[in-house]
Amino acid sequence: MSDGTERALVELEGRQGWGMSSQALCRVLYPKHPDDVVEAFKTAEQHGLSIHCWGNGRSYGDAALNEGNLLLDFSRMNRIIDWDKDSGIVKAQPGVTLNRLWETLLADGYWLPVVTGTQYTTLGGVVAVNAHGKNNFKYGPFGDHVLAFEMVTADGQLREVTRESDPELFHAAIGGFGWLGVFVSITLQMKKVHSGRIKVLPFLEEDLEGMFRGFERCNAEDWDYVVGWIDAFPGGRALGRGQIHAARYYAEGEDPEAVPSLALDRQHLPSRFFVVIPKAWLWWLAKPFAHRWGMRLVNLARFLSMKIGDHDVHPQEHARFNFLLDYVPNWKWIYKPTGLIQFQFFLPKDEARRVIRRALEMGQERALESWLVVMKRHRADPFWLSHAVDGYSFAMDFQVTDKNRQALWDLTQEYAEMVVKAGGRFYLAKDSTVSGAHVRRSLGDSVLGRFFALKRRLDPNSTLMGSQLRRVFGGLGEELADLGDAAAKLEDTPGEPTVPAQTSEVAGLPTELREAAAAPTSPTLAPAEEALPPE
Amino acid sequence: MLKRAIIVGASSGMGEALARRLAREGYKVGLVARRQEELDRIAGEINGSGAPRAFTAAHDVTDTQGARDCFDALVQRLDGLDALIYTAGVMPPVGAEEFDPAKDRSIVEVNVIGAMTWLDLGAERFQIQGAGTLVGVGSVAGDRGRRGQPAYAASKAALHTFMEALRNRLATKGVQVLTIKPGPTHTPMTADIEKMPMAIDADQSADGIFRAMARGADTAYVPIQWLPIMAVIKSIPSVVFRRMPLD
Ligand SMILES: NC(=O)c1ccc[n+]([C@@H]2O[C@H](COP(=O)([O-])OP(=O)(O)OC[C@H]3O[C@@H](n4cnc5c(N)ncnc54)[C@H](OP(=O)(O)O)[C@@H]3O)[C@@H](O)[C@H]2O)c1
Repeated sequence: MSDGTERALVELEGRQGWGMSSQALCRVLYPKHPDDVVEAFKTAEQHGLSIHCWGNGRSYGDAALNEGNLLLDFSRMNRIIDWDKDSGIVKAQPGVTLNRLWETLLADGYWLPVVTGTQYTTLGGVVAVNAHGKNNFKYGPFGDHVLAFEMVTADGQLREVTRESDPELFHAAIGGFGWLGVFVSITLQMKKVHSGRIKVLPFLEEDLEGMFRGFERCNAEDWDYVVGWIDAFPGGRALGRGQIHAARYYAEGEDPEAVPSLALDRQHLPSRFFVVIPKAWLWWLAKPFAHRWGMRLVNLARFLSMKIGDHDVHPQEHARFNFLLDYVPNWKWIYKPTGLIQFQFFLPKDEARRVIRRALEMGQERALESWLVVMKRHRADPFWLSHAVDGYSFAMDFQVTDKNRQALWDLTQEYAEMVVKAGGRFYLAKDSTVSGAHVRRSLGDSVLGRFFALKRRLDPNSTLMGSQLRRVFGGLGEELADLGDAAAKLEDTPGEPTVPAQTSEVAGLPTELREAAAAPTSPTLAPAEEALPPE
Repeated sequence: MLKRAIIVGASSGMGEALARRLAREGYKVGLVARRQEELDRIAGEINGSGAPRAFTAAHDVTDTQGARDCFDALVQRLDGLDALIYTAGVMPPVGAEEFDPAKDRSIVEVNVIGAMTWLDLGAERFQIQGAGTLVGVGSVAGDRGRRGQPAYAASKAALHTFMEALRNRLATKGVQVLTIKPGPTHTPMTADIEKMPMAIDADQSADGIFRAMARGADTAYVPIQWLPIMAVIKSIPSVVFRRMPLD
């Protein structure tokens, strides 16, 4: 056993979700090589511990935590292994950040096919959660651009998987949250770009209906990226007002500054605001506004400033356009000390108007308006635990306080119920509140059953397990795996399950789901309540 | 983003009321005390028909050896910990002329040794975590050595000083260390006491404790009226104090 392993077994390290509202103490290992991951599985088995992965800690909630157990921190497994600039195919270790990737490859005329709102996520992380970007409706999630991955499974085997070699594992492990195996390399098709810039069109909409019409127009005009920002505070006729940014790649030879704009200093986000204010101070300047009325003002000011701003199509560098969340370093600190959560849901397009309108109204009725709302357009994809549907997503940031905690929890549970009934989905990468019963009804037993049956084959002792898996699925995994095995016996199914119908009711949902957490380890410890009914 | 708290001494009185309150404020709670059946009753009521929020562990705080296992198991069960509240306490009746070392020791074992054991476990964890709330329930009785309950008063004074020292260690590490000094409160502990000036009930007390936790306080008298009263009482010279009709 290496020194690091021994230290991790005795020393706990504090980790928190990016939103600062989920904490855990974990036994952290820092693999440098696939062999270290194999060794970690042995250690886990010897000590009866579970394993989960940590990329760069950008998940808002508990997605990358593993209380009391092993956490593989990939910050030291972050090399670009291979880059072929003719084909645009890059192979890299999971700990490499998107920032490293684009900074290294842009000079050769390539950009990432999909990016998250921050560039400090890792490749392993975005593939594990199958992240999406503002171009999801057209380019799909990250997984659509993965050509292959290498993964260590609980039996210590290193498997190389492509879409063709093992379609089942490929579509289950991408977006499988690290619950089937640990990625040790990922091969990705980069996107050829003909400029370091894209053409951006900003426009304002005075109400929610306008926002939808704006999205539809962008769709019809075939833009590459579309993202909406909504001011959640005004009601009545201004309910849902906001701004849309659409963007399009330059065609070859179209941008006169194509080559110079590839330079990194052109891409880097400005370090000062209004020329003089260092950006590192901004969160601190915004802190006095970190309450409901302050944020009403900030959102209003933002809307008005956009009104007088420029509405013409203008060029903007890729990094500056894409990484909005990186503009104000540590902006999350305005949510100190209790932190924030994000609740993001995905709705079929026919249901989106109704549910989103109601969601905004409910926030206002309860004085729990989101301080930052982002809306995007999506398409369905073939990954098993996919969050995207053909429709819209709505992401809301909420400050969590000791006073509003329960009310916020209740609100998100009601949102979840509305989403499930509308045939929508959730995104666990950002989640802190959704229940197993809701996820189950939204994804359907057929897909979840198959997923957990596959997990049982690959990881019979459930070694791959994190705080989120325990919170959301808990003991449900086994029951779902039984369902999956039973289903597999009935029909000899092909690898890729059909994306479950986006209907509200899942047939055969037992009225009582089993207790969520693992069995108590101390003989004196008794579960207070054996049955967990659906919430 | 539910918070997770362990409450030691949760089977009756203030601990019970606080457990219910925290569960209503978005906490999962781990309930510790000796009487399993009482813990089951409270957890059952908290959980109702919803997803479980309350978990229980029967444990005697005088079993200091067993504390860590109990703590670890509950933390696993709650999948982490954000707050540890030590409210277990005993105050057996003491005669006006009684001097009983065994009784005094039994008070110190629960009110002081048990408290230190559990608060140490919480402190160790929260220090690494860089966040967390430690609450110790002392008493206005710990502010002065009244004649009625020498060991009890001394035990609460010891707890106050211990909490202050923990605060001085942990405040810079992002950990809230909160000393609660309740005045007379209607609970099973005080059921036989007749004279209870300005007494409140356990729910009011839980409200005071929860608010003090939420505002990040260091010390809180519950109810707040005891702050000025105790300021006066603390300033009375000993020679005068001993002649006063305070039991
Ligand atoms: N009530 C007042 O007027 C008043 C005023 C000031 C301060 N206080 C303090 O407030 C705290 C709570 O008091 P309360 O009035 O709520 O009293 P209570 O109703 O008697 O509750 C005391 C709790 O401590 C637990 N406990 C006692 N001995 C224990 C042991 N050996 N191991 C584990 N748990 C033990 C009890 O559970 P089990 O019996 O099930 O073990 C019970 O849950 C105490 O520290 C008390 O000193 C009370």
